[in-house]
Amino acid sequence: MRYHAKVNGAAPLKIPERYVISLTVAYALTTFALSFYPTSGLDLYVSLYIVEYFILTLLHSPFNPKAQKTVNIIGYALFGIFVVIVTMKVLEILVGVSFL
Amino acid sequence: MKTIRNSFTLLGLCLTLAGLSLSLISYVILQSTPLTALGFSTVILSGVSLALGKGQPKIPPEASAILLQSGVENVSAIVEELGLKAKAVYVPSSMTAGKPQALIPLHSNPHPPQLENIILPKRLIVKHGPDAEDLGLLVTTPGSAVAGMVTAKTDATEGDLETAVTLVLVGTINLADGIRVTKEEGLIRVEISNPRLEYRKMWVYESLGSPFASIVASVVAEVLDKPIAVEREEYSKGKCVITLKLTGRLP
Repeated sequence: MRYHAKVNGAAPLKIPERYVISLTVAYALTTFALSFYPTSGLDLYVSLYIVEYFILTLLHSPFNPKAQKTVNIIGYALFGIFVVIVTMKVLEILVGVSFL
Repeated sequence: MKTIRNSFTLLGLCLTLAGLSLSLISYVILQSTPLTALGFSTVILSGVSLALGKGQPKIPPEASAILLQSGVENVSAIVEELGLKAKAVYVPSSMTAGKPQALIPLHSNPHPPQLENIILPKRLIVKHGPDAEDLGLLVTTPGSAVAGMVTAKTDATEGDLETAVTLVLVGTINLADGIRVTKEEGLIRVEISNPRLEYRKMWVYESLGSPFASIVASVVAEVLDKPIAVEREEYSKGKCVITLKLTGRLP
């Protein structure tokens, strides 16, 4: 037979499903690990979530164009939050006053 | 109220509600940083689910398969009736004034036809050259619909082609896990990792190539804005290699 027909017994996970599961597992493990350190502030959790978001999004892209557009918007918003956190940390070091 | 049929959208809405509630309660009442962070992560997941829900197909894959199958069977019947076995040439949308299509020459020739720099009319039987026998069938293929997602770039590199084919085959219609493109001496080699498509062997695939070859050839023709022919296909476990040939355009 010239053309090979591939038959799937069990359907493998699609990329969007893999992406959501990876993100969920990453966030759960991060939260669990950092919860053992009582001195961890909310900014540390959020910073790590944002980094994990960018890494996993890059690993699973490209998505459908409509989905990609919204994923990019979420990325811009999270990047904005990350910049705010970093700015506040820098100001804390320079000025000596804690904003978070 | 519009029924939510998309599972990702429904998941996103539930997670939004859960995440916001958890964050507020944990921050204000419980004053627990880990739980507040968990609520925030749930809100991020809800945003991602809603985003992915937007990209889900509006009709079920089974319905799409039925529509595709009936269309391909009709084309196959015509091609079989005419006894055509010549290899198809995939032409970009700039040569059809519409969408990328495949031209099946009515006369068999070991070499693909060198197409003139013309716009082929929107007809089934078209004239593609100056000679009387330069006639062919212009058909719409599975690649015709998806190739519209990519933009033409005449000096496209291997990376550009790889990105375009990945966007279609992996990102949009999710029929493979990975794509690798290499160029060598007028040939373009496309390696598809873990292709996933079940199809029956039909007469028209002798000319058009398999659905995978059809989609890949359409995308590459559209990106390069040049006619492309499927040289050969090789299948092995978990991999499919499609070799395409640039047929060129007469000035």
